Amino acid sequence: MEIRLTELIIVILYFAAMIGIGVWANRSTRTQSGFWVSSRDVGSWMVGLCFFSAGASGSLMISNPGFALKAGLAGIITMISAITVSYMLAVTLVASQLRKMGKYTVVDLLEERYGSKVLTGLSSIVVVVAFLFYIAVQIKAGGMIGAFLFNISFGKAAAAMTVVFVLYVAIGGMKSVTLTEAIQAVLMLMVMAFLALTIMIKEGGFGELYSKTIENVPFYGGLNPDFPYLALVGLFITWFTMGIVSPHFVMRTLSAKNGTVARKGILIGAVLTGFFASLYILAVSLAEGAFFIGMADTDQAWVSVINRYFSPFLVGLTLAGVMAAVMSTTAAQLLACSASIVNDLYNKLINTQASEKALVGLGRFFVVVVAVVAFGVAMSETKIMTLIVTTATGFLASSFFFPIVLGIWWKRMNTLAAVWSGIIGFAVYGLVYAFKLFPTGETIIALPISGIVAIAVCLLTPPPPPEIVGMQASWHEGDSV
Amino acid sequence: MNQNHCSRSRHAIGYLSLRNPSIYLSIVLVVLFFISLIKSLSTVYLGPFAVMTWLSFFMCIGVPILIGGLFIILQPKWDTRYTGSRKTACADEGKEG
Repeated sequence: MEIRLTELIIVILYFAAMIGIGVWANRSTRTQSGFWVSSRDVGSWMVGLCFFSAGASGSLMISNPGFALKAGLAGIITMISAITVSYMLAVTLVASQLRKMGKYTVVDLLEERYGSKVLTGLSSIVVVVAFLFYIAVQIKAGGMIGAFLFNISFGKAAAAMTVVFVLYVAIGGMKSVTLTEAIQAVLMLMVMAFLALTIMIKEGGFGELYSKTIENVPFYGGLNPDFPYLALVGLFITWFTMGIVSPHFVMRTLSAKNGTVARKGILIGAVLTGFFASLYILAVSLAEGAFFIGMADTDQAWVSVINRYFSPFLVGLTLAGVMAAVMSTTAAQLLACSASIVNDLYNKLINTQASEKALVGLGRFFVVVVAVVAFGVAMSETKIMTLIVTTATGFLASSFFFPIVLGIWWKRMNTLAAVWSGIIGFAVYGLVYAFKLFPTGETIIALPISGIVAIAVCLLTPPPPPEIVGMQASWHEGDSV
Repeated sequence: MNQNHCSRSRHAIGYLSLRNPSIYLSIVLVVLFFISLIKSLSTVYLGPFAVMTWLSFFMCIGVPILIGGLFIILQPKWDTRYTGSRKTACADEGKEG
């Protein structure tokens, strides 16, 4: 076995271009706003492409077709539909209001609404923990591709990928993420559509491929009888909340020019994700099910599929596309995680007088720290990537969904209710997860309990002061910012 | 007739109040209904795929297009209505917008 040269050259050229753009973008990241939210000047198509690219992560490209064969198409398509519906939920419930608050992170907005240091501290810890899992998944995906390209061990490849991620995020901030993401999103859309079409044409259409897959995986078109249907509901609920609770999506909303642009952008992202992800997963999982079902590792099956259908040049381009997905998601997540540590923990609780220059410098330092810790998590975590990401999202949903949504929409919602809703939601999710009471269905229990606690505590305690109620009302005025 | 309508609305709002115990029973029943629906939809096939798969697939594409379309059609109307009412309110109070 030797190094795959053609594929490697294409991927290296791609990385060089992306890092170049990062360096170029560095000129406009002297301020905090430039580093975190791209100076808030992004248009709706750009927001849409970034939403698509952040959602279509490495786990979607590599792991989801394999998950389709394990759970059945009903399982995976339910998850994708939950993601697109979650964008709708973000559009209608929070996009415009979040943009108007003019804050950088999820924790920022919780602090603005509730003004509680306890809540700020707790929520930034939740964000950091959840993001370590998210980033670990992306490093895993990057490591797998690197191992394929160089014929080296997974560990070495993952370490090399971590260095590349850090370089381009620490240098450029959100501006580089936004610029490169738009390019990456276009490349990914092309790869998804082209791979799906090639598979269908080469195998003589859908019918032929489907009958082969059904022979190997009889439940493929529906749900695996061993996969509990309640877990399907849990999967839906978890991903349904993603557009609201995932801080890297919230940051996309904040980088939009204004509330209307944010809403339109999210809608564009939702249509792109729903259509292209469904098409891609259907085609790739059919090919995996028909020809590579014997492979123990489904992620390896994905590499075999592209090798079977594409020339080395196209394999290189596809890997660059997937690396693009991995890179953009990791970049956004590294930023969100570092933002949480620097803005929410350090600047608000430890040193409120820190200069802007010091905060940007610390932001870059923590990008490196977070990447190193996430690398450690990636090396130790052995589960399917899709399920690791689901767990991280579930933690965020159980802790933040009700404090965010009720905080924006319910005047009566107060600080105590938000604190207890977050703590109980997080604790119940953690318990159900740790004791494996309801695998992948944890949110079915944790999310409603968090909601009930929020409402009950709120009704039993005094309403918030008038200035908070006034501020909450101002988020719903007009759409121009 | 108008009074009837008002009392019906008040009744509906009264029922939807979170202090009303029957709302919690309704929520539980609705959740159970959806769970049993999902169970049956994921095992009943329509053509090559289960009904659940078809529904989810159309939800992926249909919901964003539907809500997006409504948003694009209704947004200018909401904006006009809001701007109009804000101007009137400000004029009434003798303030600037």
